Amino acid sequence: MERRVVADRDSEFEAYMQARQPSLLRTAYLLTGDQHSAEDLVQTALAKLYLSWDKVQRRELIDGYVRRIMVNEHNSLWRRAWKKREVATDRVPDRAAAADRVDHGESAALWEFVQTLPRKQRAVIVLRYYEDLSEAEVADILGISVGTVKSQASRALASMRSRVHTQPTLAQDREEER
Amino acid sequence: MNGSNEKDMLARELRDRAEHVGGHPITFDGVKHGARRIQRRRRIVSGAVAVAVIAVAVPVGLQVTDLTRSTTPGPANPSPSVTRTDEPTPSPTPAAPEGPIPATGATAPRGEDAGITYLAGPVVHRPSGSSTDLGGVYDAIAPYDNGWIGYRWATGLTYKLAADGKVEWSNEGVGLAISSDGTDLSYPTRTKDGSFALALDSTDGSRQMTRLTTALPAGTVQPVGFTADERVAYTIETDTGESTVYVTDFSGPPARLDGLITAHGANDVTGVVAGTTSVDDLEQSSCSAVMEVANQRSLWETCDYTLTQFSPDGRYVLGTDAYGDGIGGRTAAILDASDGTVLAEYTTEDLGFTHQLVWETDTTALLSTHQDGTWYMLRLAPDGTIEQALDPVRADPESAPWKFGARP
Repeated sequence: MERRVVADRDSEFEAYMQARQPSLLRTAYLLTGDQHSAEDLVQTALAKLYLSWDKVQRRELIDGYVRRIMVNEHNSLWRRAWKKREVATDRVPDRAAAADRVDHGESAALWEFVQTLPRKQRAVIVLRYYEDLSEAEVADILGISVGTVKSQASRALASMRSRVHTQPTLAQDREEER
Repeated sequence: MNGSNEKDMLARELRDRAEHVGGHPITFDGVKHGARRIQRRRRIVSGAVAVAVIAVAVPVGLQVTDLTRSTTPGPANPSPSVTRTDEPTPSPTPAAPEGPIPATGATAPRGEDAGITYLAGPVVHRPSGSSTDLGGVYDAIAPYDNGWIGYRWATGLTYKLAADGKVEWSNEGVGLAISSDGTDLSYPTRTKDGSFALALDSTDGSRQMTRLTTALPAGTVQPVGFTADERVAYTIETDTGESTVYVTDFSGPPARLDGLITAHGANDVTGVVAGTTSVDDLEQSSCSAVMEVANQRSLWETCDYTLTQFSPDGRYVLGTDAYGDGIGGRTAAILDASDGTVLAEYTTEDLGFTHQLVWETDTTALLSTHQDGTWYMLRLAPDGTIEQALDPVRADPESAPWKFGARP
């Protein structure tokens, strides 16, 4: 590829990255639950996008592509196995965790509940209720049926009902211990 | 409180929690570095999926199959998207099942114990039922020279172990290739000048001299499998993450296999290599091909599966999901290696995933899969049958209780 073409390509990619990085980080944070993992996830998703940038014909679809890459990457068993290897061999720099919001009671319990969800179910919740995607769109991203999206969302809400609303003080106690 | 309010509460909580996150901590240079790492990881992951494993009891009386020979009509379940470069050759196949078969561990009947060597933590289990605590955890292992040879991804080293697990030596590099009759193996090593090379030896250690490849291109070497007697396919990964597939005869210059960006399986009975020809991260898809080494030509290609290991007799090839970086795979397929016909396709339930898939015999494969909080080792076959090959183990998705030993 000619140098000028590469420069144009990189410049276009950088512009997209600058514009969308904060939004992607927010979704990643909800999927992972901590700042460092969120940054790691977004960087990997952007790296995959960079590798495929020339193939993107319709720029308006990029966000959807990145979201799908990010969610699937987060759920990938191989990625987790690989990350363990990286952590085992490389020192991970200390970073200040994203400041947890000072909160008590139901809100803290809700966040704690979200963090206890299995990865796939958590992805369903984040895509459905944060990204506000339709059940069909969530199913498409996760490669599962619409029925599974419905049942997972429904099961999460039922679980939330029993665990958050009935025992908010438990979460409050744990929050205060931190 | 009604369901609508709960959804609103949850949505609000997620928005509030995400609100403080943002900024631009990721640099463009970091992304480009990540891209190179991904290419490298893809190479290593493909090696792990197709982990070459050997059984203590090598399949007896290997039925050497001439892929051009045929005795029965072709199967009834052809893959719609297989591209053949030649006229399809019918081959003897078992009764082909119609459509995907649920790979449901809970309802599968219990069959005989797995007939290959496998690892459970530091303990290596042999098909005979005996076991040995090696005192350390390895990602793959094979019998070698009255002991074992294995490797660890975490250290990037290959280890030679005594029968009791004591480490006799270690080499930089990971990967094991085993010949289909189980008599030869190949592993990465370092030459005196510091470059990577491949070692060739007999599995019983009787060969007096370990032969090293010559004139290897610079980069990290990983053996894929034997393509003929004393011929091994391997991948080279450069510092920039570029991967290339070669075949060496351990004497002359290696021959590059054009068209493959990585390789996952090889077979020395039929002289073929299975590998990936393209990857599309946006569409989350890839295409794979079976290539004939002697003529450097693609026999057939599919974009439905990632092709991995060949059965020891070369008749069948395993397929997993076309895009391996997703939510763990959900597919395990057995294809006719001569023309890509899908003989049996197994799928896990929506929230389950497949982990490792290897050949146990010429006609049975073993799949480790996690489903609903439980790990299963399932035995699959070209005729679509399914059974448990070990008792299920309840464990979280990130703690696979078994690792398969190296198979041809």
